[in-house]
Amino acid sequence: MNIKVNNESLEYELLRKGDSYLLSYQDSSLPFQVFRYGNDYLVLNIEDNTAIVLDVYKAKNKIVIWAEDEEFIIEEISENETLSSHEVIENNIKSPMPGIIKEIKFMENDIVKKGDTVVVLESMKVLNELKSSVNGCIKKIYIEKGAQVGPLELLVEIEPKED
Amino acid sequence: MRKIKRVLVANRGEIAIRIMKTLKLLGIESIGVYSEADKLSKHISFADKAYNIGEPEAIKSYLNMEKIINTAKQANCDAIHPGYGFLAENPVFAKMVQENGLIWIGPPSECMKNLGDKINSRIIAQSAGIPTTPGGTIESIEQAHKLANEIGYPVLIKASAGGGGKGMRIVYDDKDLEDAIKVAREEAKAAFADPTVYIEKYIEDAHHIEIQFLIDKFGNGLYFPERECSVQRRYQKIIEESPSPTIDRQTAKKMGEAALLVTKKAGYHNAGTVEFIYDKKSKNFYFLEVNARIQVEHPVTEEISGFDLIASQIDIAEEKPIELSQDELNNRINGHAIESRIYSEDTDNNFMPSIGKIEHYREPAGFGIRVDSGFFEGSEVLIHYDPLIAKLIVKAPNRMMAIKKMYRALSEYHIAPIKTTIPLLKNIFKHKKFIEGDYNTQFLSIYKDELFNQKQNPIHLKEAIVLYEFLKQSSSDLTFSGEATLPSCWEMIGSWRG
Repeated sequence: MNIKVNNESLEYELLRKGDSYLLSYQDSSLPFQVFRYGNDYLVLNIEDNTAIVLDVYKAKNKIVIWAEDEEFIIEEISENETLSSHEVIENNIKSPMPGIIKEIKFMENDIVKKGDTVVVLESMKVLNELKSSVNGCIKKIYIEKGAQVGPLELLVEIEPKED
Repeated sequence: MRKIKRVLVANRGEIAIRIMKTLKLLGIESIGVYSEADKLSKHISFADKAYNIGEPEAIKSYLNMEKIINTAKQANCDAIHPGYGFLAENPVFAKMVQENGLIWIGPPSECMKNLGDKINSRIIAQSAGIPTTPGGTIESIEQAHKLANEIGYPVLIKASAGGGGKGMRIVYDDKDLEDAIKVAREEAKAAFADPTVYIEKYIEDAHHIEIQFLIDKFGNGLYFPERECSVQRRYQKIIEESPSPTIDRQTAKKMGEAALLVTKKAGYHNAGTVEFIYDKKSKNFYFLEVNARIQVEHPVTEEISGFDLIASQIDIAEEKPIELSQDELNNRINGHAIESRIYSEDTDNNFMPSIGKIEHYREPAGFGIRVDSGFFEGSEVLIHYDPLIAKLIVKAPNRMMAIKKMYRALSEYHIAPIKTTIPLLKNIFKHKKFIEGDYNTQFLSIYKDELFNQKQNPIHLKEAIVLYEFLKQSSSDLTFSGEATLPSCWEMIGSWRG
């Protein structure tokens, strides 16, 4: 089995026998049992007789597990993900988080340089300058001053231009 | 003496709750206020009554002076407590409160105007013989360039009315000065309704150390042991501890006396804090500013002194004299306290605010562990306000035990799916330099790599994997989209009316 734990992939084998699990991971194989424990779960290592209590948060495509002082974010490895890992340089301006547009420093068809502040986004009282990552030309502005935007919304389209 | 019977708490979140808890203990009724966006926020349930004061934007609700005063009168309040932030350090508001026959639980308006304003407060400090960092006001962009070059880069641009790092910018170069002033002004205006900013020399090897004090209406004053607040990001504190591991008792005493000297000279009464910059190399301290309000980190002082500072604020507003002497207070001080600020921020992504619903929430508890929080499971972290979720405060007989206790408590603080400062805080409390007490305001940037990307060998990974599989395979669990998929109840009963 392949999963991602705290953003790192790892591989293991799991065998279920009745109500116990045999986990083979790296160079060991250990038997465990799992019990519901109030709002938590108790995982018993049958060989060592050690039991720990884990708290869990379940979301659609990941789960978060707290064990003692550790936190594990576990995700399945999906095929889409391996595709999206080929990173594309984003030339457009997108909102990194929800906020309110305080200022748009350019108009459509203006020329921008890499590093120019294009939009000022206010979120939680802090002004964030959203900068162009390319040299280019403002193709389209999708927002106006005072607009409230959500996360990862397309704000300004920039057409990259070589010098 | 006068008796306060009903107080409007002009704030939200953890500080509104903190204040209301003390009011309840004192047998005083509390009136809450909330914005449209805060209808279901936690602070409302702690108030005896709560009133809607307007739209989500702070300027239309929590900063709406007339609305708040009218609400206080309508609810027959006799006093207003402003908390921190919002209108807490607004002398115009303090004056309006009093002109409307209400008691202002805070320093006198005139004194706030002189002291709360950072430019004036520096002049007062200088006249009391207390050194200040070089700097001055901004009259024009040309003059700002001249001044910045005179005192030498890097310089800080700070909001005159501000606090909490808002409206603050550090500038390393002449060419960035104008932009920084502009942005700082805008932030200052948005946060404090006052765009005035000033320039100050930025001391690079600096400690942020501050003195909490109380002064009554008869001029009796007390100063508390110093709080060290040097762990900061974006010039905003995330950890505070008392006493400081940096300064000795003699320096602390000097700072305490200096704090009372400045504030008494300014005619201050009620609770407040004097902030100093301490240069560890030269062992000099410089007056920075007065926070004319109750501060976020006041619980640290409460824990080592046994004082309820909100109750002290009310006593002073009721014109009761402070009866304790400085020596008696010094004898009450024991142990060590630390506060961690739990912000909804993505520490791996330059502390970007992480907004949304808290779907999983579990607080730590136990001996010497205190949580001042403004949220519960199901609460929304809102875009309009400060991203502070809670303050976690621990108290122990000594610093080492307090650090261990804090680490444990942070490990037991579970918040998801929004990102918080908890993982970073845990790394800080395990960091050798912090444990040794060897840190300054640059701590986070100097040890960035160790603090932000710490990877270690997981101990309970196997248990976590087993549990993950258990949950995936458990058919009773429909919320987790694993392999086990049961048909929905609609599919099972067939279509409606078949």
